[in-house]
Amino acid sequence: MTLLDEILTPSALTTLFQPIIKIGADGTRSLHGYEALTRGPRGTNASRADVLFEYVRRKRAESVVDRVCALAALRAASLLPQCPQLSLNVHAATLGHDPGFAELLVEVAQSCGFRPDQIVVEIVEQSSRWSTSGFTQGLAELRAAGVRIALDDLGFGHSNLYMMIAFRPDIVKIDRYFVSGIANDPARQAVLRSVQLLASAIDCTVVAEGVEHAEELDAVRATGVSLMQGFLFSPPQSAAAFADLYPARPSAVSLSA
Amino acid sequence: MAPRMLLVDDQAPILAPLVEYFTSIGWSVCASQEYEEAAALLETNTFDLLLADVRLGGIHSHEGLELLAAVRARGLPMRVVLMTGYGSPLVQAEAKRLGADALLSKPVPLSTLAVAAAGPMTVVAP
Repeated sequence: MTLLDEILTPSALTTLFQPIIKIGADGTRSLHGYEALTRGPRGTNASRADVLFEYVRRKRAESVVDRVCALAALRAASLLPQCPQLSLNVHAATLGHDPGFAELLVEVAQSCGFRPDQIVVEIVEQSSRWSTSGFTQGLAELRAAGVRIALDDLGFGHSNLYMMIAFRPDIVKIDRYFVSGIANDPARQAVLRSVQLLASAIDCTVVAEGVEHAEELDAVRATGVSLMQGFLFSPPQSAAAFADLYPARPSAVSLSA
Repeated sequence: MAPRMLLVDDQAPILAPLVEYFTSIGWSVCASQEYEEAAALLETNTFDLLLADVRLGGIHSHEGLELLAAVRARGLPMRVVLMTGYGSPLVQAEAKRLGADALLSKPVPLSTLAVAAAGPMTVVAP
């Protein structure tokens, strides 16, 4: 049995969730949504996400694995006490080469209790090996259904300003590299301010990833970015862990400031 | 900290006892049966040694040489020991050209593998 066979075995994948937090003008924190993060089969080298996806890209199996990951994530997310917005990672190659992906995603999202406008597809890509026409078509189908598009890891690999201008994402997520140590680094602060300025001009929302320290939160806020994700708020955890932390309530969940 | 080895052989009956042996003599062993998995592990981890079969599933392919080439192309500071049951002069020449530290012909006695894995011995003057 290859590692890919193990990955595709039913229930082999684990989905964890990391909250995306909105920092209000007065500094209050509220739950904006979750990003679903997949871990490979336990006891294999792919239990680490970086190994899992590097392997999947080398096997050119992005499409089939993205399908399995998305289905597992949607099912797991239905157990979250509240989930205003759910972000799912999808390779650009999947949208480029799998014409049925958008339809499947929307159908399964609805069967798991999510409206399409609650779903964000985060485009991850580290190579240019995908069909631009297929990708554009896939994006159009997702958008037509109401799904929003995020560009993940902005600043690295092919996740760059070209992608931001060419595909006009609804959301850009700034890679943790630009957030780590931002409090004492004017260059990183300038990058975030620039991205925030560009994003505002094209009606796009910015999320800062990898916020780990209170001083980073303050520095990110000072650049005008109010959506953040990182260990300062929560590590990736199972849906059950959040159910214990934040029992379901009808209104937005407030987190301690 | 135990030295870290990436051990790659597509045949489970060969891989499993090697994992057990090298673990017993103090290596931290990460094992793989596939070229793509091994390449992904090299991309995302740090190892002191790659010990790999030259052929990993393909009859005419030499994926072990490709792993060696990837290690050297990236300038990773690690030793590479390859094993082969089909040691043609071409494979030997290619392994040498790409910078393998050793190319061993199968079957390889465990003691020979252990010495090759440990690398050149340093003689310390008393």
